[in-house]
Amino acid sequence: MHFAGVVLVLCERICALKEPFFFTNTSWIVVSMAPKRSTRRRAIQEKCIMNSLPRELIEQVFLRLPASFLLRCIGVCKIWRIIIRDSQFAMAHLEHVPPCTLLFSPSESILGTLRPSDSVIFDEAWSPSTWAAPVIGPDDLLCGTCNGLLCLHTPTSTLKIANLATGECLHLKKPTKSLKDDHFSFYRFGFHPVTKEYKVIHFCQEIGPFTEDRFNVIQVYTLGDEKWKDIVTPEALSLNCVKKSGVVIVDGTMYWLIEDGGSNWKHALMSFDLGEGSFAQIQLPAVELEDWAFGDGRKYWVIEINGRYVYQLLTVWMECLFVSCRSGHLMELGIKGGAICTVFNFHQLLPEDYILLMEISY
Amino acid sequence: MASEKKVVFLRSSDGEAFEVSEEVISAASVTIKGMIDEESPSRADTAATTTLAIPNVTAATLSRVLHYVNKHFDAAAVVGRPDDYIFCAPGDEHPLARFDDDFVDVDNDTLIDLVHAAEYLHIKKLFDLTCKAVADKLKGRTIDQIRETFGIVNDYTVEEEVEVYRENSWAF
Repeated sequence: MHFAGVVLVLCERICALKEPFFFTNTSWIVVSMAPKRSTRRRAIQEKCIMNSLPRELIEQVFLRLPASFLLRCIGVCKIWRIIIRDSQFAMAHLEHVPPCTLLFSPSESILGTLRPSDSVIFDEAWSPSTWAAPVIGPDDLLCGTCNGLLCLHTPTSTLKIANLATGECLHLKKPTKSLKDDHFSFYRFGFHPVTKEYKVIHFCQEIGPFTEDRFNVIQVYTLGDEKWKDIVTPEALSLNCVKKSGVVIVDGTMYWLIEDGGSNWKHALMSFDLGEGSFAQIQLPAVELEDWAFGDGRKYWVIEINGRYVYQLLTVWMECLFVSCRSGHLMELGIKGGAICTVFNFHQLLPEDYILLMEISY
Repeated sequence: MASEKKVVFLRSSDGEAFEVSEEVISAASVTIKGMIDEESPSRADTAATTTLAIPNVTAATLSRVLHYVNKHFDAAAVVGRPDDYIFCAPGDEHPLARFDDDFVDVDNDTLIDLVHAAEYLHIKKLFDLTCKAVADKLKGRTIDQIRETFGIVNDYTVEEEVEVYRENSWAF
Protein backbone atom coordinates (compact mmCIF):
# COMPACT_ATOMS: atom_id res chain seq x y z
CA MET A 1 0.00 0.00 0.00
CA HIS A 2 2.63 2.46 -1.07
CA PHE A 3 1.29 5.94 -1.28
CA ALA A 4 3.24 6.73 -4.35
CA GLY A 5 2.48 8.86 -7.30
CA VAL A 6 1.27 12.36 -7.41
CA VAL A 7 -1.40 13.80 -5.29
CA LEU A 8 -2.75 17.26 -5.10
CA VAL A 9 -2.55 18.52 -1.62
CA LEU A 10 -2.77 21.44 0.68
CA CYS A 11 0.24 22.76 2.48
CA GLU A 12 -0.13 23.13 6.16
CA ARG A 13 1.13 25.94 8.29
CA ILE A 14 -1.11 26.06 11.30
CA CYS A 15 -2.45 23.24 13.32
CA ALA A 16 -5.37 22.93 15.57
CA LEU A 17 -6.61 25.83 17.57
CA LYS A 18 -9.33 24.52 19.75
CA GLU A 19 -12.27 22.33 19.30
CA PRO A 20 -14.67 22.42 17.65
CA PHE A 21 -12.74 24.23 14.98
CA PHE A 22 -9.44 23.34 13.49
CA PHE A 23 -7.45 25.78 11.53
CA THR A 24 -5.05 24.72 8.94
CA ASN A 25 -3.17 27.06 6.80
CA THR A 26 -3.04 25.34 3.59
CA SER A 27 -2.11 25.87 0.06
CA TRP A 28 -3.61 24.17 -2.90
CA ILE A 29 -0.67 22.51 -4.26
CA VAL A 30 0.52 19.39 -5.85
CA VAL A 31 2.96 17.25 -4.04
CA SER A 32 4.45 13.86 -4.35
CA MET A 33 3.93 11.37 -1.61
CA ALA A 34 7.04 9.59 -2.78
CA PRO A 35 9.57 12.39 -2.76
CA LYS A 36 12.50 10.05 -2.26
CA ARG A 37 12.22 8.94 -5.82
CA SER A 38 15.12 10.84 -7.16
CA THR A 39 14.36 10.89 -10.85
CA ARG A 40 15.57 14.24 -12.00
CA ARG A 41 13.09 16.17 -13.99
CA ARG A 42 13.21 14.56 -17.32
CA ALA A 43 14.73 16.85 -19.84
CA ILE A 44 11.84 16.32 -22.12
CA GLN A 45 11.85 18.71 -24.96
CA GLU A 46 8.90 17.16 -26.66
CA LYS A 47 6.93 19.84 -28.32
CA CYS A 48 3.38 20.01 -27.27
CA ILE A 49 0.39 22.18 -27.50
CA MET A 50 -0.15 25.64 -26.25
CA ASN A 51 1.35 26.89 -29.48
CA SER A 52 4.52 24.84 -29.29
CA LEU A 53 5.60 25.70 -25.79
CA PRO A 54 7.98 23.04 -24.57
CA ARG A 55 6.90 21.05 -21.59
CA GLU A 56 9.07 22.98 -19.17
CA LEU A 57 7.41 26.24 -20.05
CA ILE A 58 3.95 24.73 -19.75
CA GLU A 59 4.96 23.63 -16.28
CA GLN A 60 5.96 27.18 -15.50
CA VAL A 61 2.52 28.36 -16.50
CA PHE A 62 0.85 25.60 -14.51
CA LEU A 63 2.85 26.56 -11.43
CA ARG A 64 0.94 29.81 -11.47
CA LEU A 65 -2.46 28.16 -11.41
CA PRO A 66 -4.32 26.81 -8.40
CA ALA A 67 -4.55 23.05 -7.98
CA SER A 68 -8.32 23.18 -8.22
CA PHE A 69 -8.03 24.55 -11.71
CA LEU A 70 -5.22 22.20 -12.69
CA LEU A 71 -7.50 19.30 -11.94
CA ARG A 72 -9.82 20.59 -14.59
CA CYS A 73 -6.88 21.07 -16.94
CA ILE A 74 -6.15 17.35 -16.68
CA GLY A 75 -9.15 16.87 -18.93
CA VAL A 76 -7.76 19.02 -21.73
CA CYS A 77 -5.35 16.55 -23.26
CA LYS A 78 -3.01 13.68 -22.40
CA ILE A 79 0.21 15.63 -22.13
CA TRP A 80 -1.37 18.05 -19.71
CA ARG A 81 -2.45 15.15 -17.59
CA ILE A 82 1.06 13.74 -17.61
CA ILE A 83 2.56 17.10 -16.63
CA ILE A 84 0.08 17.80 -13.86
CA ARG A 85 0.33 14.30 -12.43
CA ASP A 86 4.12 14.31 -12.51
CA SER A 87 5.66 14.06 -9.05
CA GLN A 88 8.46 16.51 -9.77
CA PHE A 89 5.96 19.05 -10.94
CA ALA A 90 3.89 18.35 -7.88
CA MET A 91 6.81 19.19 -5.61
CA ALA A 92 7.52 22.39 -7.50
CA HIS A 93 3.87 23.38 -7.27
CA LEU A 94 3.90 22.72 -3.55
CA GLU A 95 6.62 25.30 -3.10
CA HIS A 96 5.12 27.80 -5.46
CA VAL A 97 1.55 28.23 -4.37
CA PRO A 98 0.50 30.49 -1.52
CA PRO A 99 -1.29 28.87 1.39
CA CYS A 100 -4.97 28.97 2.10
CA THR A 101 -6.91 28.02 5.16
CA LEU A 102 -9.15 25.13 6.03
CA LEU A 103 -11.84 25.42 8.64
CA PHE A 104 -13.00 22.07 9.90
CA SER A 105 -16.01 21.52 12.07
CA PRO A 106 -16.58 18.05 13.45
CA SER A 107 -19.94 16.42 13.61
CA GLU A 108 -22.08 17.44 16.52
CA SER A 109 -25.61 17.34 17.64
CA ILE A 110 -27.39 20.66 17.72
CA LEU A 111 -30.84 20.67 19.29
CA GLY A 112 -31.20 17.00 18.59
CA THR A 113 -30.21 17.33 14.96
CA LEU A 114 -27.00 15.60 14.03
CA ARG A 115 -24.79 17.77 11.89
CA PRO A 116 -22.08 15.91 9.96
CA SER A 117 -18.41 16.88 9.88
CA ASP A 118 -17.81 19.60 7.39
CA SER A 119 -15.06 21.86 6.19
CA VAL A 120 -14.63 25.12 4.38
CA ILE A 121 -11.55 26.24 2.54
CA PHE A 122 -10.66 29.89 2.42
CA ASP A 123 -8.64 31.35 -0.38
CA GLU A 124 -6.00 34.04 -0.03
CA ALA A 125 -8.64 36.74 0.13
CA TRP A 126 -10.41 34.91 2.93
CA SER A 127 -13.40 34.08 0.82
CA PRO A 128 -14.84 30.63 1.32
CA SER A 129 -13.97 28.39 -1.56
CA THR A 130 -16.84 26.92 -3.48
CA TRP A 131 -15.33 23.52 -3.91
CA ALA A 132 -13.83 20.75 -1.87
CA ALA A 133 -13.26 17.11 -2.55
CA PRO A 134 -15.73 14.83 -0.86
CA VAL A 135 -13.20 13.04 1.32
CA ILE A 136 -14.55 13.84 4.74
CA GLY A 137 -17.07 11.37 6.06
CA PRO A 138 -19.93 12.53 8.27
CA ASP A 139 -18.30 11.09 11.40
CA ASP A 140 -14.69 11.84 10.58
CA LEU A 141 -12.60 13.94 12.93
CA LEU A 142 -9.49 15.82 11.99
CA CYS A 143 -6.25 14.71 13.65
CA GLY A 144 -3.95 16.95 11.69
CA THR A 145 -2.94 18.27 8.34
CA CYS A 146 0.30 18.30 6.47
CA ASN A 147 1.13 19.70 3.08
CA GLY A 148 -2.52 19.66 2.30
CA LEU A 149 -3.12 16.11 3.37
CA LEU A 150 -5.64 15.55 6.10
CA CYS A 151 -5.38 12.85 8.68
CA LEU A 152 -8.92 11.88 9.56
CA HIS A 153 -10.04 9.74 12.42
CA THR A 154 -12.90 7.52 11.42
CA PRO A 155 -15.25 5.55 13.66
CA THR A 156 -13.96 2.33 12.07
CA SER A 157 -10.67 0.53 12.62
CA THR A 158 -8.78 2.70 10.17
CA LEU A 159 -7.40 6.19 9.92
CA LYS A 160 -7.77 8.02 6.67
CA ILE A 161 -5.11 10.12 5.02
CA ALA A 162 -7.11 12.17 2.59
CA ASN A 163 -6.22 14.56 -0.13
CA LEU A 164 -8.75 17.33 -0.32
CA ALA A 165 -7.69 18.42 -3.73
CA THR A 166 -7.83 15.11 -5.53
CA GLY A 167 -10.22 13.18 -3.37
CA GLU A 168 -7.67 10.39 -3.00
CA CYS A 169 -7.63 8.52 0.27
CA LEU A 170 -5.26 6.15 1.99
CA HIS A 171 -6.57 4.01 4.80
CA LEU A 172 -4.28 2.76 7.49
CA LYS A 173 -5.07 0.49 10.33
CA LYS A 174 -5.29 1.97 13.79
CA PRO A 175 -2.80 0.57 16.28
CA THR A 176 -5.41 0.21 19.01
CA LYS A 177 -6.95 -3.15 19.56
CA SER A 178 -10.12 -1.90 21.08
CA LEU A 179 -12.04 1.01 19.66
CA LYS A 180 -13.27 1.78 23.15
CA ASP A 181 -10.04 3.49 24.14
CA ASP A 182 -9.61 5.10 20.80
CA HIS A 183 -9.81 8.87 20.67
CA PHE A 184 -9.05 11.16 17.78
CA SER A 185 -7.11 13.63 19.92
CA PHE A 186 -4.44 10.98 20.55
CA TYR A 187 -3.46 11.01 16.91
CA ARG A 188 -1.32 13.59 15.18
CA PHE A 189 -0.08 13.90 11.64
CA GLY A 190 3.23 15.48 10.72
CA PHE A 191 5.83 15.90 8.05
CA HIS A 192 9.56 15.99 8.51
CA PRO A 193 11.08 18.51 6.12
CA VAL A 194 14.48 16.80 6.00
CA THR A 195 13.52 13.16 5.69
CA LYS A 196 10.43 14.15 3.69
CA GLU A 197 8.46 11.54 5.53
CA TYR A 198 4.88 11.80 6.60
CA LYS A 199 4.18 10.38 10.02
CA VAL A 200 1.12 9.60 12.04
CA ILE A 201 1.73 9.69 15.76
CA HIS A 202 -0.43 7.95 18.31
CA PHE A 203 -0.25 8.59 22.02
CA CYS A 204 -0.69 5.13 23.38
CA GLN A 205 -2.88 4.93 26.43
CA GLU A 206 -1.74 2.53 29.10
CA ILE A 207 -4.25 -0.07 30.07
CA GLY A 208 -4.52 -0.86 33.73
CA PRO A 209 -5.73 0.51 37.04
CA PHE A 210 -4.53 4.00 37.99
CA THR A 211 -2.73 4.45 34.71
CA GLU A 212 -5.58 5.62 32.55
CA ASP A 213 -4.21 9.09 32.25
CA ARG A 214 -0.61 8.14 31.53
CA PHE A 215 1.30 6.95 28.56
CA ASN A 216 4.77 5.45 28.21
CA VAL A 217 4.81 4.81 24.53
CA ILE A 218 4.05 6.76 21.42
CA GLN A 219 3.43 4.86 18.26
CA VAL A 220 4.65 6.22 14.96
CA TYR A 221 3.48 5.21 11.52
CA THR A 222 5.59 6.39 8.62
CA LEU A 223 3.60 6.54 5.40
CA GLY A 224 5.01 3.91 3.12
CA ASP A 225 6.29 1.69 5.95
CA GLU A 226 2.95 0.07 6.64
CA LYS A 227 3.60 -0.55 10.29
CA TRP A 228 3.33 1.17 13.65
CA LYS A 229 6.57 1.53 15.54
CA ASP A 230 6.63 1.88 19.32
CA ILE A 231 8.85 4.55 20.82
CA VAL A 232 9.19 4.58 24.59
CA THR A 233 8.97 7.94 26.30
CA PRO A 234 11.60 8.93 28.87
CA GLU A 235 8.94 8.77 31.59
CA ALA A 236 5.23 8.29 31.99
CA LEU A 237 3.48 11.36 30.64
CA SER A 238 0.06 12.78 31.10
CA LEU A 239 -2.45 11.89 28.47
CA ASN A 240 -4.80 14.43 29.86
CA CYS A 241 -2.44 17.20 28.82
CA VAL A 242 -2.37 15.89 25.31
CA LYS A 243 -6.11 15.89 25.24
CA LYS A 244 -6.68 19.16 26.98
CA SER A 245 -3.82 21.39 25.92
CA GLY A 246 -3.15 20.30 22.41
CA VAL A 247 -0.17 19.17 20.42
CA VAL A 248 1.60 20.99 17.63
CA ILE A 249 4.08 19.92 15.03
CA VAL A 250 6.49 22.57 13.86
CA ASP A 251 9.22 21.95 11.36
CA GLY A 252 9.35 18.21 11.95
CA THR A 253 9.18 18.40 15.72
CA MET A 254 6.14 17.76 17.84
CA TYR A 255 5.50 19.79 21.01
CA TRP A 256 3.03 19.38 23.81
CA LEU A 257 2.62 20.52 27.38
CA ILE A 258 3.54 18.15 30.16
CA GLU A 259 2.46 18.05 33.72
CA ASP A 260 4.44 19.18 36.69
CA GLY A 261 6.91 16.37 37.26
CA GLY A 262 8.80 17.52 40.30
CA SER A 263 10.20 20.48 42.08
CA ASN A 264 12.89 21.36 39.59
CA TRP A 265 10.58 22.36 36.83
CA LYS A 266 7.10 23.50 36.89
CA HIS A 267 5.95 24.10 33.39
CA ALA A 268 7.48 22.42 30.47
CA LEU A 269 7.01 21.44 26.93
CA MET A 270 7.94 18.04 25.65
CA SER A 271 9.35 17.85 22.17
CA PHE A 272 9.62 14.85 19.93
CA ASP A 273 11.73 14.90 16.80
CA LEU A 274 9.85 13.11 14.05
CA GLY A 275 13.03 12.40 12.14
CA GLU A 276 15.23 11.03 14.89
CA GLY A 277 12.48 9.83 17.17
CA SER A 278 14.08 11.55 20.15
CA PHE A 279 12.47 13.36 23.05
CA ALA A 280 13.57 16.56 24.75
CA GLN A 281 12.13 18.78 27.40
CA ILE A 282 11.90 22.53 27.13
CA GLN A 283 11.59 24.75 30.15
CA LEU A 284 9.10 27.52 29.85
CA PRO A 285 9.91 31.01 31.01
CA ALA A 286 8.36 31.83 34.36
CA VAL A 287 4.91 33.15 33.61
CA GLU A 288 1.58 32.93 35.32
CA LEU A 289 0.72 29.37 34.53
CA GLU A 290 0.22 28.04 38.02
CA ASP A 291 -2.97 26.08 37.84
CA TRP A 292 -2.90 25.15 34.24
CA ALA A 293 -3.21 21.45 34.72
CA PHE A 294 -6.15 21.68 37.03
CA GLY A 295 -9.60 23.05 36.88
CA ASP A 296 -11.25 22.38 33.58
CA GLY A 297 -7.85 21.75 32.05
CA ARG A 298 -8.87 23.79 29.09
CA LYS A 299 -7.15 26.93 30.05
CA TYR A 300 -4.07 26.44 28.00
CA TRP A 301 -3.85 25.38 24.48
CA VAL A 302 -0.70 24.96 22.46
CA ILE A 303 -0.95 26.10 18.90
CA GLU A 304 1.50 26.87 16.23
CA ILE A 305 1.32 30.19 14.55
CA ASN A 306 3.05 31.47 11.58
CA GLY A 307 3.55 35.13 12.39
CA ARG A 308 1.96 36.36 9.25
CA TYR A 309 -1.28 34.66 10.04
CA VAL A 310 -1.64 35.60 13.64
CA TYR A 311 -3.92 38.48 13.00
CA GLN A 312 -6.09 36.74 10.43
CA LEU A 313 -6.36 33.65 12.47
CA LEU A 314 -7.50 35.43 15.55
CA THR A 315 -9.79 37.70 13.63
CA VAL A 316 -11.64 34.86 12.13
CA TRP A 317 -11.74 32.56 15.05
CA MET A 318 -12.23 34.69 18.06
CA GLU A 319 -13.21 38.01 16.60
CA CYS A 320 -10.21 39.40 18.31
CA LEU A 321 -9.44 42.90 17.35
CA PHE A 322 -6.14 43.67 18.86
CA VAL A 323 -2.92 41.84 18.29
CA SER A 324 0.35 43.25 19.38
CA CYS A 325 3.40 41.39 18.25
CA ARG A 326 6.94 42.33 18.92
CA SER A 327 9.96 40.35 18.00
CA GLY A 328 11.73 38.77 20.90
CA HIS A 329 11.64 35.72 23.00
CA LEU A 330 8.40 36.43 24.72
CA MET A 331 5.47 38.29 23.35
CA GLU A 332 2.06 39.00 24.57
CA LEU A 333 -1.02 39.20 22.50
CA GLY A 334 -3.90 41.13 23.88
CA ILE A 335 -7.23 39.83 22.82
CA LYS A 336 -10.58 41.41 23.16
CA GLY A 337 -12.50 39.58 25.81
CA GLY A 338 -9.70 39.52 28.29
CA ALA A 339 -7.72 36.54 27.14
CA ILE A 340 -3.99 36.87 27.12
CA CYS A 341 -1.82 34.83 24.87
CA THR A 342 1.79 34.36 25.64
CA VAL A 343 3.92 33.51 22.70
CA PHE A 344 7.22 31.76 22.95
CA ASN A 345 9.50 31.73 20.03
CA PHE A 346 11.36 28.47 19.97
CA HIS A 347 12.58 28.88 16.50
CA GLN A 348 15.12 31.61 16.45
CA LEU A 349 16.14 30.57 13.01
CA LEU A 350 12.62 30.78 11.73
CA PRO A 351 11.43 34.06 13.14
CA GLU A 352 7.96 33.66 11.75
CA ASP A 353 7.13 30.38 13.41
CA TYR A 354 5.85 30.49 16.90
CA ILE A 355 4.37 28.20 19.36
CA LEU A 356 1.54 29.84 21.09
CA LEU A 357 0.67 28.90 24.57
CA MET A 358 -2.71 30.35 24.95
CA GLU A 359 -4.69 31.04 28.01
CA ILE A 360 -8.30 31.33 27.18
CA SER A 361 -10.56 33.08 29.59
CA TYR A 362 -14.10 33.75 28.70
CA MET B 1 27.54 61.26 -19.10
CA ALA B 2 25.10 59.62 -21.43
CA SER B 3 27.40 59.69 -24.41
CA GLU B 4 29.95 57.59 -22.54
CA LYS B 5 27.46 54.86 -21.80
CA LYS B 6 28.36 51.67 -23.50
CA VAL B 7 25.83 50.23 -25.85
CA VAL B 8 25.49 46.85 -27.44
CA PHE B 9 23.59 45.79 -30.50
CA LEU B 10 21.33 42.77 -30.44
CA ARG B 11 20.67 41.11 -33.74
CA SER B 12 17.36 39.29 -33.98
CA SER B 13 16.85 35.99 -35.77
CA ASP B 14 15.56 37.87 -38.81
CA GLY B 15 18.58 40.14 -38.95
CA GLU B 16 17.39 43.35 -37.40
CA ALA B 17 19.76 45.06 -34.96
CA PHE B 18 18.61 46.86 -31.82
CA GLU B 19 20.65 49.22 -29.75
CA VAL B 20 20.47 48.92 -26.00
CA SER B 21 22.47 50.20 -23.07
CA GLU B 22 24.92 47.57 -21.94
CA GLU B 23 24.26 48.39 -18.33
CA VAL B 24 20.51 48.04 -18.68
CA ILE B 25 20.52 44.81 -20.63
CA SER B 26 23.14 43.29 -18.34
CA ALA B 27 20.94 44.02 -15.36
CA ALA B 28 17.95 42.50 -17.11
CA SER B 29 19.20 39.48 -18.98
CA VAL B 30 21.43 36.87 -17.46
CA THR B 31 21.99 35.36 -20.89
CA ILE B 32 23.17 38.59 -22.51
CA LYS B 33 25.27 39.51 -19.50
CA GLY B 34 27.03 36.19 -19.95
CA MET B 35 27.58 36.91 -23.64
CA ILE B 36 28.97 40.36 -22.89
CA ASP B 37 31.29 39.00 -20.22
CA GLU B 38 32.61 36.45 -22.67
CA GLU B 39 33.24 39.11 -25.26
CA SER B 40 34.97 41.48 -22.87
CA PRO B 41 38.62 40.52 -23.33
CA SER B 42 38.50 40.94 -27.08
CA ARG B 43 36.54 44.15 -26.81
CA ALA B 44 39.19 45.87 -24.81
CA ASP B 45 41.45 46.07 -27.86
CA THR B 46 38.90 47.54 -30.17
CA ALA B 47 36.63 50.50 -30.06
CA ALA B 48 33.99 48.75 -32.16
CA THR B 49 30.60 48.18 -30.59
CA THR B 50 29.59 44.65 -29.89
CA THR B 51 26.81 43.03 -31.82
CA LEU B 52 25.31 39.96 -30.23
CA ALA B 53 23.29 37.50 -32.23
CA ILE B 54 20.02 36.48 -30.61
CA PRO B 55 19.10 33.65 -32.93
CA ASN B 56 15.99 32.52 -31.08
CA VAL B 57 14.10 35.78 -30.98
CA THR B 58 12.44 37.60 -33.85
CA ALA B 59 12.65 41.37 -34.36
CA ALA B 60 9.01 41.87 -33.39
CA THR B 61 9.48 40.05 -30.11
CA LEU B 62 12.91 41.49 -29.38
CA SER B 63 11.65 45.04 -29.74
CA ARG B 64 8.89 44.29 -27.26
CA VAL B 65 11.34 42.71 -24.86
CA LEU B 66 13.64 45.71 -25.08
CA HIS B 67 10.71 48.02 -24.50
CA TYR B 68 10.02 46.09 -21.32
CA VAL B 69 13.67 45.99 -20.31
CA ASN B 70 14.09 49.74 -20.77
CA LYS B 71 11.02 50.39 -18.67
CA HIS B 72 11.96 48.07 -15.88
CA PHE B 73 15.72 48.06 -15.70
CA ASP B 74 16.79 51.54 -16.72
CA ALA B 75 16.94 53.18 -13.32
CA ALA B 76 16.99 56.66 -14.84
CA ALA B 77 13.90 55.97 -16.88
CA VAL B 78 11.95 54.38 -14.07
CA VAL B 79 12.62 56.99 -11.46
CA GLY B 80 13.33 60.12 -13.39
CA ARG B 81 10.86 60.29 -16.21
CA PRO B 82 7.79 62.25 -15.21
CA ASP B 83 5.47 60.65 -17.76
CA ASP B 84 5.71 57.40 -15.83
CA TYR B 85 3.70 58.98 -13.11
CA ILE B 86 1.12 60.33 -15.51
CA PHE B 87 1.02 56.87 -16.96
CA CYS B 88 0.00 55.12 -13.80
CA ALA B 89 -3.39 55.47 -12.23
CA PRO B 90 -3.68 56.39 -8.56
CA GLY B 91 -3.87 53.29 -6.45
CA ASP B 92 -1.60 51.28 -8.70
CA GLU B 93 0.62 49.30 -6.42
CA HIS B 94 3.65 49.57 -8.54
CA PRO B 95 4.31 52.44 -10.92
CA LEU B 96 4.82 49.86 -13.63
CA ALA B 97 1.83 47.69 -12.84
CA ARG B 98 -0.29 49.35 -15.49
CA PHE B 99 2.55 49.11 -17.98
CA ASP B 100 2.87 45.42 -17.24
CA ASP B 101 -0.85 44.83 -17.69
CA ASP B 102 -0.82 46.56 -21.04
CA PHE B 103 2.40 44.86 -22.02
CA VAL B 104 0.90 41.37 -21.78
CA ASP B 105 -2.45 42.36 -23.21
CA VAL B 106 -1.56 40.82 -26.55
CA ASP B 107 -2.67 37.88 -28.64
CA ASN B 108 -1.69 34.37 -27.67
CA ASP B 109 1.04 33.94 -30.27
CA THR B 110 2.77 37.13 -29.24
CA LEU B 111 2.48 36.20 -25.60
CA ILE B 112 3.91 32.75 -26.15
CA ASP B 113 6.78 34.28 -28.14
CA LEU B 114 7.47 36.53 -25.19
CA VAL B 115 7.54 33.57 -22.82
CA HIS B 116 10.08 31.91 -25.09
CA ALA B 117 12.17 35.04 -25.36
CA ALA B 118 12.09 35.74 -21.62
CA GLU B 119 13.17 32.19 -20.96
CA TYR B 120 15.95 32.23 -23.53
CA LEU B 121 17.23 35.63 -22.44
CA HIS B 122 16.78 34.68 -18.81
CA ILE B 123 14.87 37.78 -17.76
CA LYS B 124 13.17 36.53 -14.65
CA LYS B 125 10.74 39.38 -14.10
CA LEU B 126 9.51 39.20 -17.67
CA PHE B 127 9.29 35.43 -17.51
CA ASP B 128 7.16 35.60 -14.37
CA LEU B 129 4.97 38.25 -15.91
CA THR B 130 4.36 36.41 -19.15
CA CYS B 131 3.81 33.00 -17.52
CA LYS B 132 1.32 34.60 -15.19
CA ALA B 133 -0.39 36.17 -18.16
CA VAL B 134 -0.72 32.81 -19.92
CA ALA B 135 -2.06 31.33 -16.69
CA ASP B 136 -4.58 34.14 -16.46
CA LYS B 137 -5.73 33.39 -19.98
CA LEU B 138 -6.44 29.81 -18.93
CA LYS B 139 -8.06 30.61 -15.64
CA GLY B 140 -11.78 30.28 -15.34
CA ARG B 141 -12.19 28.65 -18.72
CA THR B 142 -13.86 25.36 -19.39
CA ILE B 143 -11.96 22.51 -20.99
CA ASP B 144 -13.50 23.24 -24.35
CA GLN B 145 -12.67 26.91 -24.13
CA ILE B 146 -9.06 26.12 -23.23
CA ARG B 147 -8.75 23.79 -26.20
CA GLU B 148 -10.24 26.39 -28.47
CA THR B 149 -8.14 29.27 -27.15
CA PHE B 150 -4.86 27.47 -27.47
CA GLY B 151 -5.61 25.24 -30.41
CA ILE B 152 -5.26 22.04 -28.45
CA VAL B 153 -6.55 18.82 -29.93
CA ASN B 154 -8.43 16.53 -27.59
CA ASP B 155 -6.46 13.30 -27.80
CA TYR B 156 -8.48 11.38 -25.23
CA THR B 157 -10.64 8.55 -26.40
CA VAL B 158 -14.23 8.61 -25.22
CA GLU B 159 -13.44 5.90 -22.64
CA GLU B 160 -10.42 7.80 -21.34
CA GLU B 161 -12.41 10.97 -21.11
CA VAL B 162 -15.01 9.23 -19.00
CA GLU B 163 -12.23 7.87 -16.81
CA VAL B 164 -10.64 11.28 -16.32
CA TYR B 165 -14.01 12.76 -15.56
CA ARG B 166 -14.73 10.05 -13.04
CA GLU B 167 -11.39 10.64 -11.30
CA ASN B 168 -12.06 14.30 -10.75
CA SER B 169 -15.75 14.64 -11.31
CA TRP B 170 -16.27 17.14 -8.54
CA ALA B 171 -13.64 19.44 -9.99
CA PHE B 172 -15.47 20.07 -13.23
